[in-house]
Amino acid sequence: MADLGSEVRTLLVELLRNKGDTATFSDDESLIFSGRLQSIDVVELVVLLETHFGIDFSKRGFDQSQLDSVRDILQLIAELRA
Amino acid sequence: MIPALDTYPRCVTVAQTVHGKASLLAAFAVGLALLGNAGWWAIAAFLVLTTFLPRQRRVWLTLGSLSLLFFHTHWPKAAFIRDLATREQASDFLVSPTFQILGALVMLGLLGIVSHLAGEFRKSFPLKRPLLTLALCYFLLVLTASYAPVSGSGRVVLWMVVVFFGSYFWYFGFTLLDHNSKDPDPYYLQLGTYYPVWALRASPTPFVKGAAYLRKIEAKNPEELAVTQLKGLKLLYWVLVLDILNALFTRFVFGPENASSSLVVNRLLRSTGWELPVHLSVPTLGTAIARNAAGAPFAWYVCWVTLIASFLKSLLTASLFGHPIVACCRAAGFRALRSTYRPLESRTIADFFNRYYFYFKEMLVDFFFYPTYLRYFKRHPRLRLVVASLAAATFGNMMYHFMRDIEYVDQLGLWKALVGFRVYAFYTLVLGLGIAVSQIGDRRKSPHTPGWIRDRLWPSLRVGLFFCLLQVFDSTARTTPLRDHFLFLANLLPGLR
Repeated sequence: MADLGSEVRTLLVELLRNKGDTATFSDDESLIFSGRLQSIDVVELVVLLETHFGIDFSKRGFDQSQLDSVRDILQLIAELRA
Repeated sequence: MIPALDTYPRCVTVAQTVHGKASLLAAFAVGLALLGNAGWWAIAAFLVLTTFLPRQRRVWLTLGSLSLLFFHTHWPKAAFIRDLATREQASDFLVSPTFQILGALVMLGLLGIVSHLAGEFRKSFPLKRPLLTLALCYFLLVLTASYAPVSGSGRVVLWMVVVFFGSYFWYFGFTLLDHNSKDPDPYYLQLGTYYPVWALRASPTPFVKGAAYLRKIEAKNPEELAVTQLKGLKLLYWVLVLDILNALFTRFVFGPENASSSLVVNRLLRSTGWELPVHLSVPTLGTAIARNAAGAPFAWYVCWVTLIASFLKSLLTASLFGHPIVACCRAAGFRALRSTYRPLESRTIADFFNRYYFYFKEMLVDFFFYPTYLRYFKRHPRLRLVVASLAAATFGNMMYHFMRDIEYVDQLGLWKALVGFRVYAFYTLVLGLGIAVSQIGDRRKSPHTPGWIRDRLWPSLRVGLFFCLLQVFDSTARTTPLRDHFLFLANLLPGLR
Protein backbone atom coordinates (compact mmCIF):
# COMPACT_ATOMS: atom_id res chain seq x y z
CA MET A 1 0.00 0.00 0.00
CA ALA A 2 2.94 2.30 0.77
CA ASP A 3 4.29 1.88 -2.79
CA LEU A 4 0.88 2.40 -4.21
CA GLY A 5 0.48 5.48 -2.04
CA SER A 6 3.73 6.98 -3.28
CA GLU A 7 2.78 6.16 -6.87
CA VAL A 8 -0.53 7.98 -6.52
CA ARG A 9 1.17 10.84 -4.72
CA THR A 10 3.83 11.14 -7.43
CA LEU A 11 1.13 11.38 -10.07
CA LEU A 12 -0.75 14.06 -8.14
CA VAL A 13 2.45 16.04 -7.51
CA GLU A 14 3.19 15.87 -11.25
CA LEU A 15 -0.33 17.00 -12.17
CA LEU A 16 -0.15 19.94 -9.79
CA ARG A 17 3.37 20.91 -10.84
CA ASN A 18 2.28 21.06 -14.50
CA LYS A 19 -0.22 23.67 -13.40
CA GLY A 20 2.44 25.65 -11.54
CA ASP A 21 1.12 24.49 -8.15
CA THR A 22 4.08 23.41 -6.04
CA ALA A 23 2.40 23.65 -2.62
CA THR A 24 2.55 20.50 -0.53
CA PHE A 25 -0.53 18.49 0.44
CA SER A 26 -1.40 15.90 3.02
CA ASP A 27 -2.99 12.51 2.27
CA ASP A 28 -6.37 13.80 3.45
CA GLU A 29 -6.28 17.14 1.71
CA SER A 30 -8.98 17.84 -0.85
CA LEU A 31 -7.54 18.46 -4.30
CA ILE A 32 -10.60 18.48 -6.58
CA PHE A 33 -13.20 20.17 -4.40
CA SER A 34 -10.65 22.72 -3.23
CA GLY A 35 -10.16 23.71 -6.88
CA ARG A 36 -6.51 22.68 -7.12
CA LEU A 37 -7.30 20.00 -9.72
CA GLN A 38 -9.70 20.59 -12.63
CA SER A 39 -11.76 18.17 -14.69
CA ILE A 40 -8.94 17.72 -17.22
CA ASP A 41 -6.66 16.68 -14.37
CA VAL A 42 -9.29 14.24 -13.16
CA VAL A 43 -9.21 12.76 -16.65
CA GLU A 44 -5.45 12.16 -16.24
CA LEU A 45 -6.13 10.44 -12.95
CA VAL A 46 -8.85 8.29 -14.50
CA VAL A 47 -6.50 7.21 -17.30
CA LEU A 48 -3.84 6.24 -14.77
CA LEU A 49 -6.27 4.25 -12.67
CA GLU A 50 -7.62 2.53 -15.78
CA THR A 51 -4.20 1.57 -17.11
CA HIS A 52 -2.41 0.74 -13.87
CA PHE A 53 -5.20 -0.80 -11.88
CA GLY A 54 -7.71 -1.88 -14.51
CA ILE A 55 -10.56 0.17 -13.02
CA ASP A 56 -13.52 0.51 -15.36
CA PHE A 57 -15.49 3.55 -14.21
CA SER A 58 -18.17 3.07 -16.85
CA LYS A 59 -19.23 -0.10 -15.04
CA ARG A 60 -19.11 1.18 -11.49
CA GLY A 61 -20.52 4.69 -11.76
CA PHE A 62 -18.30 7.71 -11.38
CA ASP A 63 -18.08 9.86 -8.30
CA GLN A 64 -15.47 12.63 -8.22
CA SER A 65 -15.27 12.49 -4.43
CA GLN A 66 -13.62 9.07 -4.71
CA LEU A 67 -10.61 10.78 -6.29
CA ASP A 68 -10.51 13.91 -4.15
CA SER A 69 -7.46 13.06 -2.00
CA VAL A 70 -4.63 10.53 -1.84
CA ARG A 71 -6.52 8.64 0.85
CA ASP A 72 -9.76 8.61 -1.20
CA ILE A 73 -7.93 7.16 -4.20
CA LEU A 74 -6.18 4.51 -2.13
CA GLN A 75 -9.47 3.58 -0.53
CA LEU A 76 -11.07 3.22 -3.96
CA ILE A 77 -8.27 0.95 -5.17
CA ALA A 78 -8.46 -1.13 -1.98
CA GLU A 79 -12.22 -1.54 -2.39
CA LEU A 80 -11.81 -2.73 -5.94
CA ARG A 81 -9.10 -5.19 -5.00
CA ALA A 82 -11.05 -6.64 -2.08
CA MET B 1 -8.98 46.44 -1.86
CA ILE B 2 -11.01 44.33 0.59
CA PRO B 3 -8.94 43.28 3.63
CA ALA B 4 -8.31 39.53 3.85
CA LEU B 5 -10.21 39.19 7.13
CA ASP B 6 -10.12 35.40 6.99
CA THR B 7 -6.31 35.46 7.36
CA TYR B 8 -6.29 37.63 10.51
CA PRO B 9 -6.22 35.29 13.56
CA ARG B 10 -7.95 37.90 15.75
CA CYS B 11 -10.85 38.23 13.30
CA VAL B 12 -11.22 34.45 13.06
CA THR B 13 -11.33 34.19 16.85
CA VAL B 14 -13.88 37.01 17.23
CA ALA B 15 -16.05 35.54 14.43
CA GLN B 16 -16.49 32.44 16.60
CA THR B 17 -18.06 34.39 19.49
CA VAL B 18 -21.77 35.22 19.69
CA HIS B 19 -21.10 38.94 19.27
CA GLY B 20 -18.70 38.29 16.42
CA LYS B 21 -21.21 36.08 14.62
CA ALA B 22 -23.99 38.63 15.10
CA SER B 23 -21.79 41.47 13.79
CA LEU B 24 -20.69 39.39 10.82
CA LEU B 25 -24.27 38.53 9.90
CA ALA B 26 -25.37 42.14 10.34
CA ALA B 27 -22.58 43.31 8.02
CA PHE B 28 -23.61 40.62 5.56
CA ALA B 29 -27.26 41.67 5.62
CA VAL B 30 -26.26 45.31 5.04
CA GLY B 31 -24.13 44.24 2.08
CA LEU B 32 -27.02 42.29 0.56
CA ALA B 33 -29.40 45.22 1.04
CA LEU B 34 -26.89 47.62 -0.54
CA LEU B 35 -26.72 45.31 -3.54
CA GLY B 36 -30.46 45.72 -3.92
CA ASN B 37 -31.22 42.07 -3.25
CA ALA B 38 -34.98 42.04 -2.59
CA GLY B 39 -34.78 38.86 -0.54
CA TRP B 40 -31.94 40.04 1.73
CA TRP B 41 -34.04 39.62 4.86
CA ALA B 42 -34.92 36.02 3.97
CA ILE B 43 -31.28 35.14 3.35
CA ALA B 44 -30.26 36.93 6.57
CA ALA B 45 -32.86 34.96 8.58
CA PHE B 46 -31.62 31.71 7.02
CA LEU B 47 -28.01 32.63 7.83
CA VAL B 48 -28.91 33.29 11.48
CA LEU B 49 -30.25 29.72 11.72
CA THR B 50 -27.29 28.09 9.96
CA THR B 51 -24.79 30.11 12.03
CA PHE B 52 -26.27 29.61 15.47
CA LEU B 53 -27.62 26.08 14.91
CA PRO B 54 -24.99 24.69 12.51
CA ARG B 55 -25.65 21.00 13.22
CA GLN B 56 -29.00 21.27 11.48
CA ARG B 57 -27.52 23.32 8.61
CA ARG B 58 -28.73 21.01 5.86
CA VAL B 59 -32.23 20.82 7.37
CA TRP B 60 -32.40 24.64 7.45
CA LEU B 61 -31.33 24.60 3.85
CA THR B 62 -34.21 22.30 2.90
CA LEU B 63 -36.73 24.34 4.90
CA GLY B 64 -35.37 27.56 3.41
CA SER B 65 -35.57 26.28 -0.15
CA LEU B 66 -39.09 24.93 0.31
CA SER B 67 -40.24 28.13 1.99
CA LEU B 68 -39.15 30.04 -1.11
CA LEU B 69 -41.90 28.17 -2.94
CA PHE B 70 -44.41 29.98 -0.75
CA PHE B 71 -42.81 33.40 -0.67
CA HIS B 72 -41.24 33.80 -4.01
CA THR B 73 -42.99 35.59 -6.79
CA HIS B 74 -40.57 34.88 -9.64
CA TRP B 75 -41.93 31.57 -10.84
CA PRO B 76 -40.11 29.86 -13.67
CA LYS B 77 -41.41 31.20 -16.98
CA ALA B 78 -44.25 33.05 -15.24
CA ALA B 79 -44.63 35.51 -18.14
CA PHE B 80 -44.80 32.67 -20.67
CA ILE B 81 -47.42 30.76 -18.68
CA ARG B 82 -49.50 33.92 -18.17
CA ASP B 83 -49.33 34.72 -21.88
CA LEU B 84 -50.24 31.15 -22.82
CA ALA B 85 -53.16 31.14 -20.35
CA THR B 86 -54.48 34.37 -21.89
CA ARG B 87 -54.17 33.01 -25.44
CA GLU B 88 -55.86 29.75 -24.48
CA GLN B 89 -58.52 31.56 -22.43
CA ALA B 90 -57.69 29.23 -19.57
CA SER B 91 -58.95 29.49 -16.03
CA ASP B 92 -57.33 32.26 -13.94
CA PHE B 93 -56.73 29.71 -11.20
CA LEU B 94 -53.99 28.12 -13.34
CA VAL B 95 -51.80 31.20 -13.06
CA SER B 96 -52.56 31.82 -9.41
CA PRO B 97 -49.76 31.36 -6.83
CA THR B 98 -51.78 28.57 -5.16
CA PHE B 99 -51.78 26.45 -8.31
CA GLN B 100 -48.11 27.22 -8.98
CA ILE B 101 -47.14 26.12 -5.47
CA LEU B 102 -49.22 22.97 -5.84
CA GLY B 103 -47.65 22.29 -9.21
CA ALA B 104 -44.13 22.67 -7.81
CA LEU B 105 -44.93 20.44 -4.83
CA VAL B 106 -46.45 17.74 -7.04
CA MET B 107 -43.37 17.88 -9.29
CA LEU B 108 -41.04 17.59 -6.28
CA GLY B 109 -43.12 14.65 -5.01
CA LEU B 110 -42.90 12.86 -8.38
CA LEU B 111 -39.16 13.46 -8.55
CA GLY B 112 -38.88 12.03 -5.04
CA ILE B 113 -40.55 8.83 -6.24
CA VAL B 114 -38.20 8.64 -9.23
CA SER B 115 -35.22 9.20 -6.92
CA HIS B 116 -36.39 6.38 -4.68
CA LEU B 117 -36.84 4.05 -7.67
CA ALA B 118 -33.43 5.03 -9.04
CA GLY B 119 -31.88 4.00 -5.71
CA GLU B 120 -33.85 0.75 -5.43
CA PHE B 121 -33.63 -0.55 -8.99
CA ARG B 122 -30.24 0.67 -10.13
CA LYS B 123 -29.66 -2.36 -12.35
CA SER B 124 -32.81 -1.99 -14.46
CA PHE B 125 -32.24 -0.58 -17.94
CA PRO B 126 -33.91 2.86 -17.65
CA LEU B 127 -32.34 3.49 -14.24
CA LYS B 128 -28.86 2.41 -15.30
CA ARG B 129 -28.85 5.54 -17.44
CA PRO B 130 -31.13 7.77 -15.34
CA LEU B 131 -30.18 11.06 -16.98
CA LEU B 132 -30.78 9.73 -20.47
CA THR B 133 -34.16 8.40 -19.33
CA LEU B 134 -34.96 11.74 -17.74
CA ALA B 135 -34.01 13.64 -20.91
CA LEU B 136 -36.12 11.30 -23.08
CA CYS B 137 -39.10 11.82 -20.75
CA TYR B 138 -38.63 15.58 -20.94
CA PHE B 139 -38.51 15.72 -24.73
CA LEU B 140 -41.46 13.33 -24.97
CA LEU B 141 -43.37 15.80 -22.81
CA VAL B 142 -42.30 18.69 -25.09
CA LEU B 143 -43.51 16.74 -28.14
CA THR B 144 -46.83 16.06 -26.41
CA ALA B 145 -47.26 19.70 -25.39
CA SER B 146 -46.42 20.80 -28.93
CA TYR B 147 -48.53 18.40 -30.96
CA ALA B 148 -51.23 16.92 -28.72
CA PRO B 149 -54.72 18.01 -29.83
CA VAL B 150 -55.38 19.70 -26.50
CA SER B 151 -56.44 23.28 -26.01
CA GLY B 152 -57.57 25.62 -23.23
CA SER B 153 -56.64 24.77 -19.66
CA GLY B 154 -55.37 21.30 -20.64
CA ARG B 155 -52.73 22.82 -22.90
CA VAL B 156 -51.65 25.29 -20.20
CA VAL B 157 -51.28 22.47 -17.66
CA LEU B 158 -49.23 20.42 -20.15
CA TRP B 159 -46.83 23.32 -20.69
CA MET B 160 -46.65 23.94 -16.95
CA VAL B 161 -45.51 20.33 -16.48
CA VAL B 162 -42.82 20.94 -19.12
CA VAL B 163 -41.74 24.19 -17.44
CA PHE B 164 -41.61 22.76 -13.91
CA PHE B 165 -39.88 19.57 -15.01
CA GLY B 166 -37.36 21.63 -16.97
CA SER B 167 -36.72 24.00 -14.09
CA TYR B 168 -35.82 21.14 -11.74
CA PHE B 169 -34.14 18.97 -14.39
CA TRP B 170 -30.47 19.76 -13.69
CA TYR B 171 -30.94 19.96 -9.93
CA PHE B 172 -32.59 16.55 -9.95
CA GLY B 173 -29.79 15.26 -12.17
CA PHE B 174 -27.35 15.85 -9.30
CA THR B 175 -29.67 13.89 -7.00
CA LEU B 176 -29.47 10.95 -9.39
CA LEU B 177 -25.69 11.27 -9.63
CA ASP B 178 -25.54 11.18 -5.83
CA HIS B 179 -26.76 7.58 -6.01
CA ASN B 180 -23.18 6.75 -7.12
CA SER B 181 -21.90 7.95 -3.73
CA LYS B 182 -21.32 5.56 -0.85
CA ASP B 183 -23.70 7.45 1.43
CA PRO B 184 -26.12 9.50 -0.66
CA ASP B 185 -28.24 12.04 1.18
CA PRO B 186 -31.92 11.26 1.71
CA TYR B 187 -34.31 13.02 -0.64
CA TYR B 188 -35.44 15.56 1.96
CA LEU B 189 -31.87 16.84 2.19
CA GLN B 190 -31.50 16.79 -1.59
CA LEU B 191 -34.48 19.19 -1.72
CA GLY B 192 -32.34 21.83 -0.03
CA THR B 193 -30.11 21.94 -3.10
CA TYR B 194 -33.02 22.68 -5.48
CA TYR B 195 -32.99 26.46 -5.91
CA PRO B 196 -31.25 26.91 -2.55
CA VAL B 197 -31.95 30.00 -0.49
CA TRP B 198 -28.73 31.68 -1.57
CA ALA B 199 -29.62 31.40 -5.28
CA LEU B 200 -33.13 32.83 -4.83
CA ARG B 201 -34.35 30.84 -7.85
CA ALA B 202 -31.79 32.70 -9.92
CA SER B 203 -31.03 30.13 -12.55
CA PRO B 204 -31.73 26.57 -13.67
CA THR B 205 -27.96 25.99 -13.23
CA PRO B 206 -27.47 24.34 -9.84
CA PHE B 207 -25.50 26.68 -7.58
CA VAL B 208 -23.49 25.12 -6.00
CA LYS B 209 -23.80 21.69 -7.64
CA GLY B 210 -25.61 19.01 -5.65
CA ALA B 211 -25.74 17.34 -2.28
CA ALA B 212 -22.51 15.35 -2.80
CA TYR B 213 -20.59 18.59 -3.25
CA LEU B 214 -22.24 20.28 -0.27
CA ARG B 215 -21.32 17.34 1.98
CA LYS B 216 -17.72 17.67 0.93
CA ILE B 217 -17.43 21.44 1.39
CA GLU B 218 -19.40 21.89 4.61
CA ALA B 219 -17.45 23.61 7.43
CA LYS B 220 -16.58 20.92 9.95
CA ASN B 221 -15.78 23.01 13.05
CA PRO B 222 -16.31 26.55 14.45
CA GLU B 223 -12.96 27.77 13.17
CA GLU B 224 -13.64 26.53 9.63
CA LEU B 225 -17.08 28.13 9.81
CA ALA B 226 -15.61 31.46 10.91
CA VAL B 227 -13.01 31.44 8.11
CA THR B 228 -15.63 30.45 5.53
CA GLN B 229 -18.05 33.15 6.68
CA LEU B 230 -15.33 35.81 6.64
CA LYS B 231 -14.47 34.75 3.10
CA GLY B 232 -18.16 35.09 2.23
CA LEU B 233 -18.32 38.57 3.73
CA LYS B 234 -15.16 39.60 1.88
CA LEU B 235 -16.57 38.33 -1.40
CA LEU B 236 -19.88 40.13 -0.87
CA TYR B 237 -18.17 43.48 -0.35
CA TRP B 238 -15.97 42.80 -3.37
CA VAL B 239 -19.24 42.43 -5.32
CA LEU B 240 -20.24 45.91 -4.14
CA VAL B 241 -16.97 47.29 -5.52
CA LEU B 242 -17.50 45.42 -8.80
CA ASP B 243 -21.10 46.64 -8.94
CA ILE B 244 -19.94 50.24 -8.72
CA LEU B 245 -17.17 49.62 -11.28
CA ASN B 246 -19.66 47.96 -13.60
CA ALA B 247 -22.08 50.90 -13.30
CA LEU B 248 -19.35 53.43 -14.06
CA PHE B 249 -17.91 51.31 -16.88
CA THR B 250 -21.32 50.82 -18.51
CA ARG B 251 -22.24 54.50 -18.23
CA PHE B 252 -18.90 55.64 -19.58
CA VAL B 253 -18.64 53.16 -22.45
CA PHE B 254 -22.24 52.54 -23.54
CA GLY B 255 -23.86 55.73 -22.22
CA PRO B 256 -26.49 56.37 -19.51
CA GLU B 257 -29.29 54.81 -21.59
CA ASN B 258 -27.56 51.43 -21.20
CA ALA B 259 -26.69 51.96 -17.54
CA SER B 260 -26.61 49.06 -15.13
CA SER B 261 -29.01 48.71 -12.23
CA SER B 262 -26.42 49.35 -9.50
CA LEU B 263 -28.40 50.50 -6.47
CA VAL B 264 -25.52 52.43 -4.89
CA VAL B 265 -24.49 54.32 -8.04
CA ASN B 266 -28.02 55.03 -9.24
CA ARG B 267 -29.09 56.38 -5.82
CA LEU B 268 -25.95 58.49 -5.62
CA LEU B 269 -26.51 59.93 -9.08
CA ARG B 270 -30.20 60.56 -8.40
CA SER B 271 -29.55 62.31 -5.11
CA THR B 272 -26.70 64.47 -6.41
CA GLY B 273 -28.11 65.02 -9.91
CA TRP B 274 -24.60 64.35 -11.20
CA GLU B 275 -23.83 62.41 -14.36
CA LEU B 276 -20.58 61.40 -16.02
CA PRO B 277 -19.49 64.45 -18.05
CA VAL B 278 -18.46 62.32 -21.05
CA HIS B 279 -19.38 58.94 -22.37
CA LEU B 280 -18.27 57.06 -25.46
CA SER B 281 -21.74 55.88 -26.59
CA VAL B 282 -20.25 52.68 -27.96
CA PRO B 283 -23.00 50.63 -29.62
CA THR B 284 -23.94 47.37 -27.93
CA LEU B 285 -23.04 44.14 -29.70
CA GLY B 286 -26.69 43.47 -30.60
CA THR B 287 -27.08 46.93 -32.11
CA ALA B 288 -23.83 46.63 -34.06
CA ILE B 289 -24.81 43.23 -35.50
CA ALA B 290 -28.29 44.50 -36.42
CA ARG B 291 -26.90 47.68 -38.08
CA ASN B 292 -24.42 45.58 -39.98
CA ALA B 293 -27.13 43.24 -41.21
CA ALA B 294 -29.29 46.21 -42.25
CA GLY B 295 -26.49 47.39 -44.55
CA ALA B 296 -25.41 50.38 -42.44
CA PRO B 297 -22.40 49.00 -40.59
CA PHE B 298 -20.29 50.89 -38.11
CA ALA B 299 -16.62 51.40 -38.98
CA TRP B 300 -14.42 48.37 -38.33
CA TYR B 301 -12.67 50.02 -35.40
CA VAL B 302 -16.01 50.85 -33.75
CA CYS B 303 -16.95 47.18 -34.11
CA TRP B 304 -13.70 46.18 -32.39
CA VAL B 305 -14.37 48.62 -29.52
CA THR B 306 -17.90 47.19 -29.25
CA LEU B 307 -16.56 43.67 -29.19
CA ILE B 308 -13.92 44.32 -26.54
CA ALA B 309 -16.25 46.42 -24.39
CA SER B 310 -18.97 43.72 -24.58
CA PHE B 311 -16.42 41.08 -23.64
CA LEU B 312 -15.27 43.03 -20.58
CA LYS B 313 -18.87 43.75 -19.66
CA SER B 314 -19.71 40.04 -19.89
CA LEU B 315 -16.85 39.24 -17.48
CA LEU B 316 -18.19 41.79 -15.00
CA THR B 317 -21.75 40.51 -15.43
CA ALA B 318 -20.66 36.91 -14.81
CA SER B 319 -18.88 37.96 -11.61
CA LEU B 320 -21.82 40.03 -10.43
CA PHE B 321 -24.15 37.11 -11.02
CA GLY B 322 -22.09 34.38 -9.36
CA HIS B 323 -20.26 36.14 -6.54
CA PRO B 324 -23.32 37.06 -4.39
CA ILE B 325 -24.59 33.47 -4.60
CA VAL B 326 -21.21 32.03 -3.58
CA ALA B 327 -20.85 34.68 -0.86
CA CYS B 328 -24.21 33.64 0.67
CA CYS B 329 -23.29 29.97 0.36
CA ARG B 330 -20.04 30.63 2.23
CA ALA B 331 -21.88 32.64 4.87
CA ALA B 332 -24.09 29.57 5.37
CA GLY B 333 -20.96 27.52 6.11
CA PHE B 334 -20.09 25.90 2.78
CA ARG B 335 -16.60 26.42 1.38
CA ALA B 336 -17.78 26.92 -2.19
CA LEU B 337 -15.40 27.99 -4.94
CA ARG B 338 -16.08 31.18 -6.85
CA SER B 339 -18.07 30.79 -10.04
CA THR B 340 -15.92 33.34 -11.87
CA TYR B 341 -12.26 33.50 -10.91
CA ARG B 342 -9.77 35.73 -12.79
CA PRO B 343 -10.74 34.53 -16.28
CA LEU B 344 -8.30 36.91 -17.95
CA GLU B 345 -5.42 34.97 -16.39
CA SER B 346 -6.42 31.84 -18.32
CA ARG B 347 -3.74 30.45 -20.58
CA THR B 348 -5.93 27.91 -22.36
CA ILE B 349 -9.47 27.88 -23.74
CA ALA B 350 -10.44 25.06 -21.38
CA ASP B 351 -9.08 27.01 -18.43
CA PHE B 352 -11.07 30.12 -19.41
CA PHE B 353 -14.28 28.08 -19.65
CA ASN B 354 -13.51 26.72 -16.20
CA ARG B 355 -12.81 30.13 -14.69
CA TYR B 356 -15.61 32.05 -16.40
CA TYR B 357 -18.67 30.15 -15.19
CA PHE B 358 -17.43 27.32 -12.97
CA TYR B 359 -20.77 25.84 -11.89
CA PHE B 360 -22.17 25.70 -15.41
CA LYS B 361 -18.99 24.01 -16.59
CA GLU B 362 -19.12 21.59 -13.65
CA MET B 363 -22.69 20.67 -14.56
CA LEU B 364 -21.69 19.94 -18.16
CA VAL B 365 -18.65 17.98 -17.01
CA ASP B 366 -20.61 15.84 -14.55
CA PHE B 367 -23.57 15.16 -16.84
CA PHE B 368 -21.90 14.91 -20.25
CA PHE B 369 -18.09 14.95 -20.19
CA TYR B 370 -17.34 12.20 -17.67
CA PRO B 371 -20.07 9.77 -18.79
CA THR B 372 -18.91 10.07 -22.42
CA TYR B 373 -15.22 9.97 -21.58
CA LEU B 374 -15.57 6.92 -19.37
CA ARG B 375 -17.69 4.94 -21.83
CA TYR B 376 -16.45 5.53 -25.36
CA PHE B 377 -13.24 5.33 -27.44
CA LYS B 378 -11.07 4.14 -24.58
CA ARG B 379 -8.33 3.00 -26.98
CA HIS B 380 -8.17 6.34 -28.77
CA PRO B 381 -7.07 8.94 -26.18
CA ARG B 382 -7.37 12.03 -28.38
CA LEU B 383 -10.65 11.02 -29.99
CA ARG B 384 -11.94 10.18 -26.52
CA LEU B 385 -11.14 13.68 -25.32
CA VAL B 386 -12.61 15.36 -28.43
CA VAL B 387 -15.87 13.41 -28.27
CA ALA B 388 -16.25 14.03 -24.52
CA SER B 389 -15.56 17.76 -24.96
CA LEU B 390 -18.13 17.99 -27.77
CA ALA B 391 -20.65 16.04 -25.68
CA ALA B 392 -20.29 18.59 -22.88
CA ALA B 393 -19.51 22.00 -24.39
CA THR B 394 -21.53 21.47 -27.58
CA PHE B 395 -24.35 18.99 -27.04
CA GLY B 396 -24.87 19.57 -23.31
CA ASN B 397 -24.57 23.33 -23.68
CA MET B 398 -27.12 23.35 -26.51
CA MET B 399 -29.50 21.09 -24.63
CA TYR B 400 -29.32 23.29 -21.53
CA HIS B 401 -30.10 26.48 -23.43
CA PHE B 402 -32.80 24.86 -25.56
CA MET B 403 -34.52 23.71 -22.38
CA ARG B 404 -33.96 27.06 -20.67
CA ASP B 405 -35.75 28.89 -23.50
CA ILE B 406 -38.41 26.24 -24.07
CA GLU B 407 -41.11 28.89 -24.65
CA TYR B 408 -39.76 29.30 -28.20
CA VAL B 409 -41.20 25.85 -28.99
CA ASP B 410 -44.69 27.10 -28.15
CA GLN B 411 -44.19 30.44 -29.90
CA LEU B 412 -42.47 29.26 -33.10
CA GLY B 413 -43.29 25.55 -33.22
CA LEU B 414 -40.78 22.78 -32.53
CA TRP B 415 -39.15 22.72 -35.98
CA LYS B 416 -38.61 26.48 -36.24
CA ALA B 417 -37.36 26.62 -32.65
CA LEU B 418 -34.81 23.92 -33.51
CA VAL B 419 -33.71 25.41 -36.82
CA GLY B 420 -33.55 28.93 -35.38
CA PHE B 421 -31.07 27.64 -32.82
CA ARG B 422 -28.32 27.41 -35.44
CA VAL B 423 -26.43 30.53 -34.30
CA TYR B 424 -25.99 29.15 -30.80
CA ALA B 425 -25.36 25.67 -32.20
CA PHE B 426 -22.46 27.12 -34.21
CA TYR B 427 -21.20 28.89 -31.09
CA THR B 428 -21.21 25.67 -29.07
CA LEU B 429 -19.56 23.71 -31.88
CA VAL B 430 -16.62 26.14 -32.09
CA LEU B 431 -16.46 26.26 -28.28
CA GLY B 432 -16.44 22.46 -28.01
CA LEU B 433 -13.72 22.09 -30.65
CA GLY B 434 -11.69 24.89 -29.05
CA ILE B 435 -11.88 23.23 -25.65
CA ALA B 436 -10.98 19.83 -27.11
CA VAL B 437 -7.94 21.17 -28.97
CA SER B 438 -6.89 23.17 -25.92
CA GLN B 439 -7.15 20.10 -23.68
CA ILE B 440 -5.11 17.95 -26.06
CA GLY B 441 -2.50 20.73 -26.26
CA ASP B 442 -2.54 21.08 -22.49
CA ARG B 443 -1.70 17.41 -22.02
CA ARG B 444 1.16 17.49 -24.49
CA LYS B 445 2.94 20.72 -23.71
CA SER B 446 5.76 21.27 -21.24
CA PRO B 447 4.61 22.96 -18.03
CA HIS B 448 6.10 26.40 -18.54
CA THR B 449 7.93 28.35 -21.18
CA PRO B 450 10.49 30.90 -20.03
CA GLY B 451 9.56 34.58 -19.79
CA TRP B 452 6.45 36.32 -18.55
CA ILE B 453 5.38 37.49 -22.01
CA ARG B 454 5.62 34.05 -23.64
CA ASP B 455 4.41 32.15 -20.61
CA ARG B 456 1.59 34.37 -19.31
CA LEU B 457 0.71 37.37 -21.47
CA TRP B 458 0.70 35.89 -24.97
CA PRO B 459 -1.39 32.77 -24.10
CA SER B 460 -3.86 34.91 -22.12
CA LEU B 461 -4.23 37.35 -25.02
CA ARG B 462 -4.85 34.52 -27.49
CA VAL B 463 -7.50 32.99 -25.23
CA GLY B 464 -9.09 36.41 -24.67
CA LEU B 465 -9.20 37.03 -28.42
CA PHE B 466 -10.80 33.63 -29.05
CA PHE B 467 -13.63 34.29 -26.59
CA CYS B 468 -13.94 37.90 -27.69
CA LEU B 469 -14.58 36.79 -31.28
CA LEU B 470 -16.71 33.82 -30.27
CA GLN B 471 -19.18 36.04 -28.42
CA VAL B 472 -20.37 37.30 -31.84
CA PHE B 473 -22.24 33.99 -32.03
CA ASP B 474 -23.27 33.82 -28.37
CA SER B 475 -26.95 34.37 -29.06
CA THR B 476 -29.84 32.08 -28.19
CA ALA B 477 -32.39 34.23 -30.04
CA ARG B 478 -34.10 32.37 -32.88
CA THR B 479 -34.68 35.27 -35.25
CA THR B 480 -31.25 36.36 -36.51
CA PRO B 481 -29.74 34.28 -39.31
CA LEU B 482 -26.20 32.95 -38.96
CA ARG B 483 -25.24 35.08 -41.97
CA ASP B 484 -25.73 38.32 -39.98
CA HIS B 485 -23.21 37.18 -37.40
CA PHE B 486 -20.66 36.21 -40.06
CA LEU B 487 -21.16 39.59 -41.74
CA PHE B 488 -20.32 41.32 -38.49
CA LEU B 489 -17.23 39.15 -38.13
CA ALA B 490 -16.16 40.09 -41.68
CA ASN B 491 -16.66 43.76 -40.85
CA LEU B 492 -13.99 43.48 -38.15
CA LEU B 493 -11.37 43.11 -40.84
CA PRO B 494 -10.97 46.37 -42.79
CA GLY B 495 -11.16 45.86 -46.52
CA LEU B 496 -12.86 42.46 -46.32
CA ARG B 497 -16.33 43.92 -46.90
